[in-house]
Amino acid sequence: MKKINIFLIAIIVLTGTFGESEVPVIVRSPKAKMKFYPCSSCHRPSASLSEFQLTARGQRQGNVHRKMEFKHMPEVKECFMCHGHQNPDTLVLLDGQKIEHEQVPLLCGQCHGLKKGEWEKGLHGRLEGNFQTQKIKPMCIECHDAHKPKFPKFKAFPPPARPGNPERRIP
Amino acid sequence: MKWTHRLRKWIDHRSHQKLSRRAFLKGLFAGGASLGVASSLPPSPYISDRYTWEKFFQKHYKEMTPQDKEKVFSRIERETQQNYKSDVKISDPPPIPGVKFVYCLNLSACNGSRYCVKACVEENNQSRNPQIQYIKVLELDRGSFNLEKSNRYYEGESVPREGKFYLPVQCMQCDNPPCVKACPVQATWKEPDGIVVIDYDWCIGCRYCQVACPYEARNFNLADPALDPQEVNPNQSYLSNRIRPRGVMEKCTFCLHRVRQGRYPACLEACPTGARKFGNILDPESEVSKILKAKKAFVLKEELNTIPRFFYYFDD
Repeated sequence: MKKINIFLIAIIVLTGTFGESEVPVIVRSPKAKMKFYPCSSCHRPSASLSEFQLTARGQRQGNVHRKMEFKHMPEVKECFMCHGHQNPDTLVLLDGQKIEHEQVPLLCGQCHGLKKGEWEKGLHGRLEGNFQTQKIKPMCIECHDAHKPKFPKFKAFPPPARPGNPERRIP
Repeated sequence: MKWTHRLRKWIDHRSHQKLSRRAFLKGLFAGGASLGVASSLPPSPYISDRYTWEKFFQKHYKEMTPQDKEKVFSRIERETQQNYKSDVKISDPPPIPGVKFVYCLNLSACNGSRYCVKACVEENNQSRNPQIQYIKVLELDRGSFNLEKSNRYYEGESVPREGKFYLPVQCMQCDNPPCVKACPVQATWKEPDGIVVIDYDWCIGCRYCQVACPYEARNFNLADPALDPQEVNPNQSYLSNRIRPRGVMEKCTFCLHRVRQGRYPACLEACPTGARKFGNILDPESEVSKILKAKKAFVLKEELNTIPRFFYYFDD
């Protein structure tokens, strides 16, 4: 009887450790990389969709977003399709639901559902951390500029030295 | 009288004889002259501390006991301190049971920026001059896949260039590795976690494996690796990224010293586009398992039956 008990415990322990090999994944909040957050320090909540109002600090600072390019959806001209106008610190979905910046995949997934599914499985995008103990997954807007999501051109590192190049000569 | 007795008698006689002034001066001049000649010659590249008894009697990695390893690692640390003026730590992480490493690379995402190449060179202490790089990024025309028409020397002011795509090639860690079969001294072998490694101190530098590899993954150290002290990565491992001696082969080891501790390879961490995916194929929840299920992955030169563990795929 004792033997059977030990056997059962062993089975439970083994299945507990090896049965599920899920490694915990932290989805990193994008707020650390957002330069101007919180938005409400300059933007005041407004009821109208056509204009937004600035706080005193915002008026002092001038237009800090002038360098921003918008190359995402050509037919969209106003900010409040995604940004909340009642609470500037939040984002809004197409159905009017308010979400935090940590939930941004919901917003992007409204159009890019396939990519969102791949990202959730870990097929799309970068992964950092440790693949045995703790993976860290950045969110959409850490790699893609939300206003210009196509990846920019990169400057490549120099090519390898060609054979016969003096750099390759053996000293 | 036996000859041994005669010899002993002669030695006794010589040792009791007083050294004459004449004999002493003669010996002094002869010794001084030979010393002077020896020190005026340039040091021979063939007679140096490159070959010591310690190194000559060093065992194959697989036959070393833990005590042997300790001795060898401390010798390498000492020599690196001497030759490269940097304090390094040689480790030897063992393979994790139940793990087999596989690499996947998304060719739709790769933009040919060579960030991986730079990270690899810095992580693995590759020689800067003569230059050795494990990763070769091939530039190909869109719609073609002829590797012989690829360009690996492209200049990239702004990549990706129009109408091109990029194919990084490195060691495929084959399951049927031709390089291992070609080695006459078994200095290279496949580890249980799927990584093909080299015992650099056992390698005789015959370069058979370089010719046997169909992916140009292996590189030969024609000279002593040139590295500045600030370029040396101090976190080194015996089988992977320690500074190689002259005259041995070296190759990508999937950053063995990192991945056996659960860290991602340096090239993956450096990739800005997230094109590189790495993980354990035996774990069905890992990204690589999901990619191989969901995507149409392929390998290079499948017809050679090398069974590579490095997969490429395009996004749908």
